[in-house]
This record gives sequence, structure tokens and C-alpha cells, in this order.
Amino acid sequence: MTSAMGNRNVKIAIFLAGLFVVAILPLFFNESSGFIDDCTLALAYICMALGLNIIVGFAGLLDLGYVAFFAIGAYTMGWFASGFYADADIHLFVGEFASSIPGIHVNFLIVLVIAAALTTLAGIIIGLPTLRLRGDYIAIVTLAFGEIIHRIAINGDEVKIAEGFPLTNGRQGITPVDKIDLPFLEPFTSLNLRPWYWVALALALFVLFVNFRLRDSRLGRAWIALREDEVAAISMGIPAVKTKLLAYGTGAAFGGMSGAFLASYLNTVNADQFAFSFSIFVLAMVILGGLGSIWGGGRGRGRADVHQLPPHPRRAQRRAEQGRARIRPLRAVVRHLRLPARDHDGPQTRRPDTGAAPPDGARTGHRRGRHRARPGGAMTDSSPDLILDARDVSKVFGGLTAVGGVDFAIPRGGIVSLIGPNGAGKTTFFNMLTGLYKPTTGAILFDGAPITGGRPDKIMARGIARTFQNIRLFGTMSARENVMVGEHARMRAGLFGSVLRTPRVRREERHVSDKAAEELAYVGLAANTFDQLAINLAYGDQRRVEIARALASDPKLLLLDEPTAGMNPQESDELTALMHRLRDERGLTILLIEHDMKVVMGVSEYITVLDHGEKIAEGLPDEVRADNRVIEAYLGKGAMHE
Amino acid sequence: MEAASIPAARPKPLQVVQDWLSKYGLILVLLIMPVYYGIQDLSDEGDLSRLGGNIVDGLSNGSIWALVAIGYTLVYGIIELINFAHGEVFMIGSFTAAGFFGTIGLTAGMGVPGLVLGLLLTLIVCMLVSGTLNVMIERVAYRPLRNAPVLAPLITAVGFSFILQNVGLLWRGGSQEGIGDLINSQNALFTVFGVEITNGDLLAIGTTIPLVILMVTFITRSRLGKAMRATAQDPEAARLMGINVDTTISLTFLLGGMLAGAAGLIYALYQTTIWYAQGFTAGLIAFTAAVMGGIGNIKGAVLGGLIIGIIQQIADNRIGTEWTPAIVFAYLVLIMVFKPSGLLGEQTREAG
Repeated sequence: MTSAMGNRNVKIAIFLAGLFVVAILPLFFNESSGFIDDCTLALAYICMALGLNIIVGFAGLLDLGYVAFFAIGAYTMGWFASGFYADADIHLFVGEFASSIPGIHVNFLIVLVIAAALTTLAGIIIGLPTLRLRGDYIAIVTLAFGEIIHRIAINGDEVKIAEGFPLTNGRQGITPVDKIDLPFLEPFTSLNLRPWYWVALALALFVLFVNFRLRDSRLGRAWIALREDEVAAISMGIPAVKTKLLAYGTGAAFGGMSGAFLASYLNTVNADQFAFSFSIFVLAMVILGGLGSIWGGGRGRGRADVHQLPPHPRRAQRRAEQGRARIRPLRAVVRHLRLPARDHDGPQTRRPDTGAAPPDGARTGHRRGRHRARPGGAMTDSSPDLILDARDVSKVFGGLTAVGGVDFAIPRGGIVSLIGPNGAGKTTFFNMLTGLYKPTTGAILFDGAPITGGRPDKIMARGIARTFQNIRLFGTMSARENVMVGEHARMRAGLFGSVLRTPRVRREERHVSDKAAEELAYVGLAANTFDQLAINLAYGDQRRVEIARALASDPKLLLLDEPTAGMNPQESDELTALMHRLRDERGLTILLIEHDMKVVMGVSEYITVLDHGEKIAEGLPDEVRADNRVIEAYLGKGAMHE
Repeated sequence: MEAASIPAARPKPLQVVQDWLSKYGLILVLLIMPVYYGIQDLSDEGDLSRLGGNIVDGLSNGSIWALVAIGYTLVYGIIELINFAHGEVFMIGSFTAAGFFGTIGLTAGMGVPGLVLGLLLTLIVCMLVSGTLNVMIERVAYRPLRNAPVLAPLITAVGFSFILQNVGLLWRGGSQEGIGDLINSQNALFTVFGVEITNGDLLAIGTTIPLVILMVTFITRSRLGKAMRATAQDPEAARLMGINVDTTISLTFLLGGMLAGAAGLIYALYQTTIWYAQGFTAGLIAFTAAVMGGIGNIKGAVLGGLIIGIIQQIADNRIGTEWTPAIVFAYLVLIMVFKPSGLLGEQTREAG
């Protein structure tokens, strides 16, 4: 702990020293030197790269139209701080010079806030149609938006908001734009570039700070979880729509602020600045630095500048000579380019298991006497001891009935199994319970309240947690962070709370992190593996982490989808014991899909058998084992007669 | 608690509207422009000949987009990549045509037989150049990244698109360049219901239809076409069945590039101006067409191309050329909102 603290102090010291050097850098150069000019532009671009990093890097939403936010931010500056609308006469907290000329002149800081607000709104509007789309479709829609904004910028001089108030000044550009004029400071001029540099530096530091704060927050984890595996993320209680829109909005705001600054600095807002190539230019910075890596956004910058097409060939040349940036090996870049996994946890299942004939379960009938109530068809009323009651639930895909009219109930505090041959509709049924699929017919009551067709994250928040058949951990997060994602629905920290890191948020973070460690220990993970990346864990441990992640949300009902698949007999036994512990120590109700009959017979109090989407049998383990239809479903028609 | 918010059997009017929109929303959106201007024409002029003219011009334009869109759709169908450089391959096709006219000394003054022969020769050259270029792009830029995450080849595709734009810039300069109107494309051949059919229309539609028929026949009937469809379905399984997946993918790029080359020639003859940036917009428009029809679906790409052509022509004629790209892209966004799987349904691995 102390060495970690020491390490941290050293890091802070290095950072502060670096910051000091960067801050006094312009003092070593001529007031209007080209170097300061370059650095100021670079800092403004860093802001954009960091903004885009939130959208593409953190949340994995490939945005090829980032230039739209630059444009909107810059035009905000053009509209609210220039002589463009000469017929208007609005002056708000501006210096003497700006007060003396006609037009709308608003203080830079206010414009900055307006720009952030407008671009956030634009980000959300642009984000909305992409929510249902896959990776490269998102790319094309955002690109289209970028082009639409570009076109509007070019032709905006024809569009009149009111007489004498055109939307843009097309390719002529809105010029001159007010220079920054802050209270207590000399008005900025194009002769002394140092103040510009410092403002850009302050902006960049602000954006950097927000990036860092967000990455290690509830929201940052939600973004990365969505990027890594959207299905798993929403099943863990992350509201996809809201979280994605927050990414678009936040990322866009930084682009807008940087755009407003650049409009003032470059003294023009010209439609030709907002071409597609600029989006790619910013994206190249993010990618060169490594997606999702914060320092990358800054580091990739210098390199990418070289390829900036318009409009400063001299500048580009000079920058190439500086060549401060370090290019990471391509492999590293590629590793970071990660989009959500493609497969859907659909009705398809693994190759047939052979464990068909029910073996002798040593612990058959364990705790059998606990409940005699027959859940399911016989139950007409949702009696209070049922935690889940699904009635006449069916799901039809196209013409295929995956699940047809199944009645299913789980008593509180029970361990219930759902078995059946591959393709029987078990996972489809799971997906309906957790909200991933909307049932075609039927109703599902959980804890007495209907959850039919509700959103997965809401159902999760109600208290149903699950694991997946093919492990779906968030690969680039540590085991602990994976489990912390599971607590998302139980946390309260929002965007601003996370950025400010209020005491409440801090407390919550600490609490959640401790609880994650507790859960990991509870499922039997060694303490030294808590902070390892999930993909580097052993297979059995990955399964454990998945269970811990589900437990983290304090569920009432835990759905386990083939938890022992790929486990050796000893691990299976451990898992069986864990299930009993969960039920006895925590009062959890467990629904299990399982192929391993030894596990099923050993742990279940009640078994339901599905075949071709229909319930063919249910009952106590012994009854099910003796049921002819079950044997037939597993072994084929001939089997009974032999 | 918001417990009872989802009762089971209550009829949901919102749901009904949503279902209806997702079924017919796209068609509704597509009909807005022609219907609006049709009504306007009827009330202003009493007949629909202006709209008819727009539609005929739109179909000619659209057949060019259809040819380019097929290239997108084939490539997306087989390797699930938006080949951003495809628009530039089309542009290089136009440039090749313009260059080749000069090389073989093709002028408008030549007789019809000489002109037809020369154009056929140019068509073959353009198709070969663009086809080869496309295959080369795949070799150099996409093949090494085939197992990389989706974003990586997409970025190299954009990169290649920029490279080719700059090649075009170096080749023929940065301004729009007029080329000789070889076929006298605005000459009205005949008039149907007050709508003029010009040489250009005949050329565009007359070249596209046989090419599309050839392509569809090749893909559905030939052995190689079957290999392409198999690879599109499941590359791993196709490989196990003895199909050379690399060759098949190259073939796909070759076919797509060849069609883009043909489109480039038609574009040059029809528009009589070419420039280095034509590929970017054309590429986006054609991609929109492919998505509209349902990506991976050749018939869809043709249908989408024709529809986009008509939209574009109406926008050009009624609203103003400078707004056309914005309108086409707005359509792209609307398609994504209403029906991401397109008019005729996607045919990709993910869509199943």
C-alpha cells in the first residue's frame, strides 16, 4: 500500500513538473512565433481527439462525422461573437472594442458554454438513429451527418433565419470573429500568441481531467462494458440508450468547445474547414495513440498533424520536422480496435452433449421435502411463495417456434433446473426472462409484478441476474472491474458526480470496489487474481467471475446458463456446493440450465424438461428421470423399447 | 416502483404505430418527394411530363449508381467491409476512359460504327483497369487485416480512398474537366408522353441492363459464383469444402471493380465532366443505394441505385444541385432509422 502510494506521489510529481515545463514553454519563444502557433493548434486538436476518444475509444461507437461538432462549436462562436449579424445589437460582458462595433458580441466564456450545450444536443441527435445499428453502420450514419452539416455550412448563406440573418457565410466564412477578451486580462491579439496558448492548454487540461475522471467511474466502466460486449452489458443492468447517448453528448461537447476556441483563434468560421477529411484527421490522432488510451489522444496528435490536408502547408512541414510523437507499433493499434462481439446469445446451442442417460445422482432428492407445491401448470394463481411465474410464454422467430406456450414457475428459495436437448429453447426462454427477447405471447411475473417484455437493464435492477452459456466477460477489464459493472444498477454516481468526484461518489466507489472483492472471494477466486485482466484468467475462474458479476447486483433470482460447461468433475462439484451455499446463506433462488446430469440431479429440487420449445415433463428429479417422454427426447424413440 | 407499467394483455397503440412504421415507413419516406412534386406539376402545368423527365434522367443516373452499388454490396456480402475506396475505383474508371479516348483518338465526328467499336474497346479497358485496381487494393490493404477487428480494415479503406483521390489529383489536376461529348448525350432520340429519351439515357440504361443480367447469371449459375455465395455464407466452411477463399474474395473485388469501371465510363460520357473528387460523393451515394436495397443483396443494390438516382435528379432539378448531397445523406439516415435491413432485406452472415 505504501509503495503504491509512493508510486502515485512520484507520478503526480512527474506530471506537475511536466505541466510546469509545458506552461512556461511559450516564454522561451517569441510572442508571435510559429512554434507557439503550432502548439496552440495542437492543444485545440488534443481536445477534439480526447472528445472523440470518449465516443470511439471508450464507448466503441465508430464516429466518422466528428467534424460536425467542430463545425457547430465554431459556428456558435461565429453567431454569438462577431459582427456577422450586423443588424443585431447585443453586447454581453465584452470589452470596449467589441462593445463599439455592431453585431452580437457575447463573452468568450459564455459562448464556450453555449457551444458545449449546442454540441451536446447535436451529439445526442446524431447518436439517436445509430443506437440500433452495428459498428460500420454507425460509421456510415455519422459520416452522413458530418456531410450534411458540411453541406449546410456551405449553403447556409442561402438559408435565412430571419431577414438579414443568414445561417452561415458559406465559403466566404464569418470573419472577423471576436478575439478572446476575458475579465482582468488584456484583450487577446494576434500579435501575442502566448495567452492563446495558455487558454488552449487550460482547455486541454480540463478535457484531460474529465477523461481521466470518467474512465475510472461508473460511467466509464459502463462505456467500456458496452464496447466489449453489448449483450452482456445490458444484461448487467447498463441502460444502453442512455449510456451511449451520454458518450455522444460528452464527446461532442469537447469538440464544440475546441471548435469555439479555434473559431476565435483562427479568426474565421469557414465552411471549407468542415470537410470529411477533418473527421479522419481527428480519428487518426485517436487511433495512432491507441484507442481508449487517454495519453494516446495527445501523443498521436503531433504525428497526425503532418497529414492534415488544408490549409497550412508550411505549418505541416514545420511540424513534420518536430516529429515529437512516437508511433506505436501497428499491432498495438490493432489490439485496441475492439468492437462489440458479434454473436448473439441466441437459440443456437453447442454441439450435442452425450450425457443423456440420467446417471445415479448421489445426492438425488437433497432437500426434497422443502417444498411440495407443484409449480407450473397446476398453479393458476400467483401465490406469494413464487418468485417467478411465467404463463403461456412463447417466442416465434419468423416461422420457427422456439418456445411454444410454456408455463413455468419457480418457488422462492428453490434451486430449479431447466433441461432438454440442444435446440429445445432453453436459452431462448432465459433470454425472455431477462428481457433480451420480447415474448411473442404470454406474461411473466417476477415477485408478483409483470416484467414481460421489459428492458434487460430494468429487469436486472428488479433482481434477476444471469450468466451466459459462452462466457461473456468484458475482456479488457480486470476481474474486479467486471464485478463492479454488475453493481451498476445499484450505484447512483452520474456524469457530473463522477467528474467532480464528490465525497459521496468516492465513498460509493470504495464501497463497490470492496464489495466486488468480497464477491470474488465468495465464489472462490484467489485474491492475487482480482486485478488481472479477465481474458487472462483460467477458464474455471472466468466462470466464477461471471457468477460473482451476477451476484454483485444482489439479485433475488440467479439464472445460470450451463455453468459447468467445460469444467472438470472436481470444478463441477465445487460449483454445486457453491449453489447450495448461495441458496442457504443468501436465500437466493437459482434457475439452472445444465447438460451435466450429475450436476442437475445432484442440485435440483425441481426439474422442467423442454423439447422443441414445449414442456414435455416436470417434477422431482426421480420422476423426471423415469419419464418416458424425457428418455425419448434425449435418446430417440427406439430407446424406450430396448 | 414502476411495477405495473407493463401489463401483459393491454393493447399498445404505440406498438402498432411502431410496427406499421417499420414496415411501411421507408416506402412512405421514399414516396414523399415524387408525390409532392407530382401534385405540384399537376396543379402548375396540368401534366406530369416534368416529373417524368426527372424520373427518366434519374433512372439513367441511378443505373450508374446501381453498378457502383453492386460493387459495395458484393464486397460487404463476402467480407463484411465497407470498401471506402470503391468510389475512387469508380473515379479512376472515369479517368481511364477520358485518357483512353485521347489515346485511340476517339472523337464525336467519327461514324457510328467506329464510335461504337471504340467505346466497346474503352469499356473493356476501363473494366480491366478498375477491376485490377480493386483486386490490388484488397491484396495490399484488406487481406493482411482480415482477422483484425472490424475497425482496422475500415480505417485502411478510408486511407486508400484518400490515396486514390490524390492519385486522381496528380493525374488530371484539381478542377472539373470537361471531356468531349462523344455521343451527343443530350440529343433527344424520341419522345414518350412528352418525356424526352436522350442518347445518354439509352447508353446508361442500355449498358447497365446487360451488365447486371450478366453479373446475376454469373453469380447464380456459374461454379465460381456458387463459391462466392458459399464464402459469403461461411468462409470457414467454404474453405473446408475445398473452395479457395482468397481467390474467391479476389474474384469478388474484380467483379465489383469491373462494374465500377463500366460505371465510370458511362458517367464520363453522360455527365461529360470528370474530376478527382467525384468518387467520394458517388461512393457515398452508391453505398446509400446498397444499404437502401439491403446490403449483400444484388437486386436490392440495383433497386436502391435507381431510387437514389430518381431522388437525386428530383433534388437537382427542384431544390438545387448544391443541396443534393445533403438530401441523399438525409435519406441514408432515414433508411437507417426506419429499416436498417433495407427494402429487400440484407443478405449477410449476421442477418442470418
